[in-house]
Amino acid sequence: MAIIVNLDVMMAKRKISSQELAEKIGITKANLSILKTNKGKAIRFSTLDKICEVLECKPGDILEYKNN
Amino acid sequence: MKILGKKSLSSKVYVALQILFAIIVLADISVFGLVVLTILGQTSMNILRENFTIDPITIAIITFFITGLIALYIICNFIEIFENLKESKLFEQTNSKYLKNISRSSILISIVYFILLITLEILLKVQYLTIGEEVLVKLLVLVFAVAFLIFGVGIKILNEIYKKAIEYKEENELTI
Repeated sequence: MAIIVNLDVMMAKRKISSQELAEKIGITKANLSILKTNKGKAIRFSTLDKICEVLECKPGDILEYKNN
Repeated sequence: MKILGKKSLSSKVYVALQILFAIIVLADISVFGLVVLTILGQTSMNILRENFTIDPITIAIITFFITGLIALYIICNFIEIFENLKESKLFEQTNSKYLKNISRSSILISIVYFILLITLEILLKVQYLTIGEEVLVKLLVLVFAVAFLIFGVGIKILNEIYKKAIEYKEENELTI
């Protein structure tokens, strides 16, 4: 897929663990792992909203478009 | 009435399919015995007559034996599907695989019956059946052939819908 999730980069910048982020967003660690590894098919606006809120960033910092 | 899961309609169908499987196995063994006896009988008679001709009834029995084996395979696949339904495993890739097997086998049975129809067309002309009986036999074989063809194609279409459903389910599961 041309959309890349750079969640791990932002997590490293904010020095937050997967467990902590998952708890704060309200999703399971397994689902967060799916997101981080680009295996997810779609992301809900509500999830994206929570991620941006917790990581204090914009959707563009997490999602990136790469032309194949 | 509960349709899916344990102690449901699907679990009852599962048991019924297993009974049907046993019945077809017994029937196929009987038909196999009949095939062997008929061929042995005809061969010994033909050796005496020194000209080898095969009876259309023998061909029909052989066809029933072959289609019986394919039908067993179809029932096996249905049993697997209903076992999954019994355990509430609905949208699984394996079910789609079983449906594909059922579709292909049904079309194969249809082809076998069409071949039988052509064979009967050639052989029955020189045989002893009256025109009425000949038409009835051919009509029955044609009905079987068309029915299995429609069933096979129908299952193939259903399988495509099922595959789409699996795709949507996976997409839904991977929406976070």
